[in-house]
Amino acid sequence: MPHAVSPERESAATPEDTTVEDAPTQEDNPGGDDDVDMADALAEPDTKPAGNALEDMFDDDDEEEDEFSSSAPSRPDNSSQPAAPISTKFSDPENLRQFYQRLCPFRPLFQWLNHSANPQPDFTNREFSFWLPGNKVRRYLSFPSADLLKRQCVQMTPERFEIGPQYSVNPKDRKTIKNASAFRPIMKELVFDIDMTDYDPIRTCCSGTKICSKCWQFIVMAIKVVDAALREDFGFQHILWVYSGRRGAHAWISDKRAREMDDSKRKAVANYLEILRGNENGKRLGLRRPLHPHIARSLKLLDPYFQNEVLNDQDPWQSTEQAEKLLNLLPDKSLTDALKKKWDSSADRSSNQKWIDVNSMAEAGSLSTLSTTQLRDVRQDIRLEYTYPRLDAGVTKTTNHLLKSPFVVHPGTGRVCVPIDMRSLEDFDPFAVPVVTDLIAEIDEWDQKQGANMSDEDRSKVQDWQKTSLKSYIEYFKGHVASLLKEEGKGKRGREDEGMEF
Amino acid sequence: MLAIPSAPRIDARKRAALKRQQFQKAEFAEQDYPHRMNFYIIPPTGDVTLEQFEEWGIARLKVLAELEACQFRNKTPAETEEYMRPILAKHLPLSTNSSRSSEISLERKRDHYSHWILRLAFSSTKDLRQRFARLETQLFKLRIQQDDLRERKSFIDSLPMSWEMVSDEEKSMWLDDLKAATNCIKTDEESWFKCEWENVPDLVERRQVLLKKGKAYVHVREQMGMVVNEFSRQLESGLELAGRFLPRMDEDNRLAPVLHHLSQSFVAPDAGYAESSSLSDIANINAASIDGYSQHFPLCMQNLHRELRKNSHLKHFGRLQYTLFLKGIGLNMQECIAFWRKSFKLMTDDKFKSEHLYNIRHSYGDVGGDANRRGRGYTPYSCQKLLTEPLPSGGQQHGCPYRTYSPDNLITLLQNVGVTDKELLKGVREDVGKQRYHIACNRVFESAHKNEIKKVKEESLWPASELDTILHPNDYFKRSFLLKNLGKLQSGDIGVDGPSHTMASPEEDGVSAQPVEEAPKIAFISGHIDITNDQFFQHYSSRLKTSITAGHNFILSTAKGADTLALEYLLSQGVEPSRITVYIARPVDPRKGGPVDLEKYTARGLRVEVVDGWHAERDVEMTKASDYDVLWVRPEEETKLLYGKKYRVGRVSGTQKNLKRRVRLRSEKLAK
Ligand SMILES: [Zn+2]
Repeated sequence: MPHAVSPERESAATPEDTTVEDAPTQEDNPGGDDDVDMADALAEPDTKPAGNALEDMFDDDDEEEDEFSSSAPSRPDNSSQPAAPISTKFSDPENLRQFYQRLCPFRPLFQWLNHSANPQPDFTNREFSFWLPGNKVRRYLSFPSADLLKRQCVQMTPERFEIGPQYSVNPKDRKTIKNASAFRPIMKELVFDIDMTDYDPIRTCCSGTKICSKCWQFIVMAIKVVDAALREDFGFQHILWVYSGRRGAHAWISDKRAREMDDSKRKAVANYLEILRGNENGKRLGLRRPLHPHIARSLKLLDPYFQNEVLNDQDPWQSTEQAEKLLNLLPDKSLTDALKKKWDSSADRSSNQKWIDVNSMAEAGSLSTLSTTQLRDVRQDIRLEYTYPRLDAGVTKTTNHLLKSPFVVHPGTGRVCVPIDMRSLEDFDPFAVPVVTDLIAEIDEWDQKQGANMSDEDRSKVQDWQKTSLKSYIEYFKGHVASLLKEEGKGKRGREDEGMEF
Repeated sequence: MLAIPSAPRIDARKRAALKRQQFQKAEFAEQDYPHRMNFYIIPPTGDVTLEQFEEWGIARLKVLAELEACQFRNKTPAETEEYMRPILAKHLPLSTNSSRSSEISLERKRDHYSHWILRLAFSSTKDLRQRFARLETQLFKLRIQQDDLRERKSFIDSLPMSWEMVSDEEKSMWLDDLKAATNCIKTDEESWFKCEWENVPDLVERRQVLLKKGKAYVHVREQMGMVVNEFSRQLESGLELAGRFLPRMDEDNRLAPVLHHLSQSFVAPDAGYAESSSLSDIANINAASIDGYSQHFPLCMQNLHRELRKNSHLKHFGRLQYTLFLKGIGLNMQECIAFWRKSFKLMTDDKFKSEHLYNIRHSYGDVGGDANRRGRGYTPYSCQKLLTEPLPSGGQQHGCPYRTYSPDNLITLLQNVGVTDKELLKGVREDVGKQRYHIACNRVFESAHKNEIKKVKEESLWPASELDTILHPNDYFKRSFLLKNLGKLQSGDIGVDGPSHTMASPEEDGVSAQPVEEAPKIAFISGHIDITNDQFFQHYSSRLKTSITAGHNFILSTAKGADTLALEYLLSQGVEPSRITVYIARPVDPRKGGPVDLEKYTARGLRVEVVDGWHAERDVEMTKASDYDVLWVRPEEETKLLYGKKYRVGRVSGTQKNLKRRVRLRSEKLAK
């Protein structure tokens, strides 16, 4: 690479980055003796994510080893997508080194996790895990500052890193503690994971790891519903939605009140939001009527999507076998018999027409024993079944769960896990998200074009990320972090003032 | 969350009061107790004597220990309530305002003081604190549930809780949402309060509250649960505080031993020896009859008896323990001497006289100092004494075998004395593993006398408090002896068996001989909607236990009474919710029925089956879907009494129909 490493002035300028001596380096063996390879990881008391990583490791399909390592059990995948060698391209150490050195916004990430400009336990006692080639995971890493995290990433070039909770003591020191219960997670953002695989029973356009703009709409619907509930019902404000790099999205809620929730409260939020739990096709949702206001609001939000994105675009009941799914959701034998007869005789009726058939036949009266309200309920249930968010709730329910950091590179697609701007959620195009290799080319291009006409001084003021299509995402993220820090500052001043009075 | 600014805070002045004022003239006015229930926020400031201090502490301890025993024995809330009622009445009565009892003030003072006495005794270690907080919370819950509705409301209103009633204005703004969110139906009170959602995570989880910007709008029916949670939370933080102050308590050297004794008593609650444990009036107890009676002895004494017979000798502490026990059951001194003389058959008369006679006479208070004579010798040892004394060493056999034996040796010993039931032995192993020695012993006792205990309960032969946890070996013997001789000791007035003829027994349906591979059988539980708790336990619980043990599945309806009690009972017994299916009738015309609330059940993990139709249709489906019935039909005479003028001759209850339908179905099957 021809160009010099850019100075990253904003982090170099802070004093704490230059004074810390015990910077973990590769030679030092970061995390002390915790060079956790998979076998060790299993012996650890607290290694759920690593345990899953093991499953991933034995998965023949490279495509499966993807962003969801940190979520619950490995997912079934029917995709016949070939295991492309492309993944090695994106996790090529030199590419990653460039990325971590020049593009990854460590400083804002640090502030976002630290809730203050100066390092405090929110960040310094946080667990990070590094995913290294060959599916090695180093858990319980911790860093005294943004710069040291960055330095470690540049040196070790992990394929990705994940963020865990703040622990009661520095994760590095966990083995020196006599009383095992003294090492416990005490704070983490509330997180959500929405994954397209959970939509395989209802999407028709793709399956497995693939997505397209049609099925991406399911993620859009889920984000809308969850975001509305988090803001309106729980009053959370600092919500960051992040594209997971391939086929899903994560949410990180940084409000103090959310961060301090214990597991029972995380479970309460997850279950409040979850209605399709363990629901196989053909079973009733068991929702009570009148609908809980959260569900009523969600339904209202989702109804237009049901008509367009589901009925029109997915056409989920087109074939006879597919239509069977719909019939199974109708609790009236005479009605389903009549519908079946009708659809058998005219095979090419679309899902849209079939949906109308359900209504008109049921209303015809003689064919159905369903009352008007029952019919309404059944139709509501079906709409929810096909639109309501499918959450991977396990990720949400425990404080010590790790989740992939925003702004890391997805090893399968090379795409950066960028934040999603809620103000233009509908416009977010997962296929327009920058790919790591393109970004590095963009820097070179900028240097040759815009940069060529600038004075050396002016040029040195422009940081590498500002030369790339990552710019808008990082700026959005910085704005998010700034508003979070502002709120934190308020809280802190408030507390200090109180202290003065006494 | 806390609206009162301070957690229960013992300020310096009150701490001093606690330490000393009990014994001096009260500086503070006696407190009033406007409510029966108490959050015990303020420590007592009045005057009590050292004797009261100890006596009140012990009484409360007895109550807590019994409550804990209920939990150890997996009693259901209803069983616990029933079991605790006489114990509470005896040791810690607490009358309602409406009772106008003249004792109200004293009762409440005792309740208040005894709580604080134990709080001090149990604040020393984390384990004790947690245990105390758990039991006190249970006690609080038990009592508030029994409280008079009006008095409960006025108590709750008096609490400085961190909730706020929803104003009429806000109510009218959100009324539909409030009703929909909190599942508030027509007959429910339209009243809500709001609090931070974190205070009610379980309600949020089940979507039983309206959420707005982090505030939860909760229906008033949830208030009691929240009060209990708040009680528990405040007590826990109060105990922590007390824990930090405890070292200073040691300054008062008169209190220290009392507190120590009380916290010791938490190992095994202490019980004094009661003269009435002696059976000399009703049984012929002499040297020759001990062998025969030894079958009624608790394991500690049976073990000594067996060792004595085996070796013709016992070491000193074993002799002392056994002698006092025999004295306690009514063996007089002469007979006791004769007993030991015969037992030590390898010993010369001279040696016996010189080494043992004096000790026996001393035990009976026949010799020794004035004090010993006046006190008529030593008192028989209680379980607590046996459980807290030093462990026996080589060749010694005294103490409580549940504690002194290794679990394997204990099981062998129990098998040798005829206790062989596998489940029972498993329970014993668990108990001793958790150092619940007296619970293990009581478990063995209950198993050995289960038929007799059942009879006593069903026929109310004894006051219920006579069946509390046994804490004294002599009490064990007496109760065992009386139970095994029920028929002989009663005046002959023994009732016939209850109306169990209508119950289709699961045994007939192959509970005992069920091949493992078969799909589990399904029990259809049905019964009257106005059944009492007592009737439920009398007629359903043991049936259900059998079915649970056999691994059967259950179906029941949403009806009040038997079905609802059965559902709670099954869940309390640890039955997987997925083994239970709730059948819900959904009338074809929904205007005629209430809303169908599936979520109420599915949220608990139960299976739900909706039958379109009325309950009659539902019942038909249920019979079809099941293998046998667990039901009880009230005898005609009782029904007449219960319904009075409304009683109709020839009326057939739904439950009876279920039974008849089953019989018909069976005969049809047979005919095929
Ligand atoms: Zn697609």
